[in-house]
Amino acid sequence: MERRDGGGHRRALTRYLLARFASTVPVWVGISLLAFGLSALTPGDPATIILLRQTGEPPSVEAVRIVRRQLRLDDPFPARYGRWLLRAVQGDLGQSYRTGEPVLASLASRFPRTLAIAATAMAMALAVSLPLGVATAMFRGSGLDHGVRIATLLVASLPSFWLGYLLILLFAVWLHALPVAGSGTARHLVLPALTLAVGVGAGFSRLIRAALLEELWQGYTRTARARGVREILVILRHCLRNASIGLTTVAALRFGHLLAGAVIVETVFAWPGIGSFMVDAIYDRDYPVIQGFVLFTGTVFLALSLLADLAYSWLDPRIRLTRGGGDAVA
Amino acid sequence: MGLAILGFLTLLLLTAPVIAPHDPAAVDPDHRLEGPTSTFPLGTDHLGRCLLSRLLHGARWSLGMAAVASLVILVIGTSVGGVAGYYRGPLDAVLMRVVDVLLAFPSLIPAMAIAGVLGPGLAHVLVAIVAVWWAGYARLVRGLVLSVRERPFVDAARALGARDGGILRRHILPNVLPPVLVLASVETGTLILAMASLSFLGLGAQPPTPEWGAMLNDGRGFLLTAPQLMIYPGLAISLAVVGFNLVGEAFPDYLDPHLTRMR
Repeated sequence: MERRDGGGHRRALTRYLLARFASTVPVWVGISLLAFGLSALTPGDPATIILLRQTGEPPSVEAVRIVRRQLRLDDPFPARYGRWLLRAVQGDLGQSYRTGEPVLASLASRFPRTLAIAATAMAMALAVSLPLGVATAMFRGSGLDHGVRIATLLVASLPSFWLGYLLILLFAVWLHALPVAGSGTARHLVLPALTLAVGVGAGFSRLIRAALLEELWQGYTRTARARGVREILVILRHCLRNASIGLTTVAALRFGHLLAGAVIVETVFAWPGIGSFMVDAIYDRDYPVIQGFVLFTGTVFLALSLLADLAYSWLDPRIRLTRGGGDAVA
Repeated sequence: MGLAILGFLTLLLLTAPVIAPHDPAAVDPDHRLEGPTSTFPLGTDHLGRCLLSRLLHGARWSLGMAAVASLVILVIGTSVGGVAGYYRGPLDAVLMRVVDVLLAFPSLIPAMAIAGVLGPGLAHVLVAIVAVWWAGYARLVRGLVLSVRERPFVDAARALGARDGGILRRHILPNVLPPVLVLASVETGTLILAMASLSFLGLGAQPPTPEWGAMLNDGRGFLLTAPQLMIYPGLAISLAVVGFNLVGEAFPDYLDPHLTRMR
């Protein structure tokens, strides 16, 4: 691996980072368009909905006209989108129809709880899939390998909401070991995180196995074996370290999927994160919250994939020197 | 194995009206929330409807909808990807930015938002799923078309006077289709899960439609008293998804060429 002199190297890195960052801007604008465009799909007139909520009875034509003028709902789409975007980049995503609270503040106050289940689930998934991945790579083709493959396929096919209820039945209702739903203590965290972890863990153990097998075909592995290094040490010391570069980025992207899966799981366990907030907003036709949720999560996902790429280029210097500003998703 | 499961489910789906012991919508107030009996092999739900009959008829909704969605997505994704990859230029650039945006999320999020804004209903869920899921196909097909269009037989066809539409259909499509069909077989399992998720949230099928996700949603309130209301529809969904995943497992090489090396 050649290394350039410090200055050129740093310049190449800076250029890569800038290019990568710039490439996310149009995607973010697209996400904001999608979020705002949702308002075009709403059945019924927002002014009528707002008035109906305030007064509880069908509003007069005149009242609707006044609110429409106040909210400037009759402006052309680009003007309304522009105003909305301008406020959004300043952190104003509007107010919830239901609670009247600012959408961004509500999302931000609930987000840590969603992060908590996603992070716990990630830790659980890695704790199980790492040993499984190493074991199946080491004993590839064995009964264990096949068994794990079938098991991970079965487990990954279970709908998470269903799995959640099965776990409630087992651990909360029959064994009385854990609370059924709600939040507050660490014990409340276990079942939702476990529900999320199962599918991701199954995927991870397959990914880890595949990544290790790919390394096992490399020349250096054969060299190590020829020197008499034991297979388990070859895998742990050499293969895992090299495979970890790709796996880190995949893990970062999967973390985004965990956050998305949390929407369903939070509903099952009545966990007050952003997912259940979104689902409640859907039931209540609370459109500003739905739009805010899309923009908020879209921004989080973009940031995650940006981080994944940066981690990749930081761990593997070959990428940034050879690929310029291209995507480096594994 | 995967094909056997899917074949079995298709058989049930086609014969549901004949083999179902009861009308799936028939309410029987005297037999509510019963366990399995000889008249109701899997028991009854909170309205006294036969669970087995609802499951069998539910296959038509759950699997039928997924099949329809899969087909529509396949057609849209392949057309968009084909046109973008073949003609390139500004149209390609715009379409691919749209794809970038849709693929920036885990697909369930935008689908849920669209379905949520449109309001409850099976048709709305179908629209939402299609509106999001075509993007993955479009990106795959575009990549494949980009490589196929540089092959000599395409030049030859053009030299012989074939028009763009003909080249796309007759020469490029057959080369692109096999990996796309593999993707479709894997993705149909994901689609079943996604549609069931939306129905479970109350967005898809509305009562009394015996769709599996909606049945799970119905059964939520009876988890403690009659867990069978949740257990069986979930099993049915899982079985269908396992079937598609097993089929997908049989040929991963198309989608990831360097898997073949590792065998």
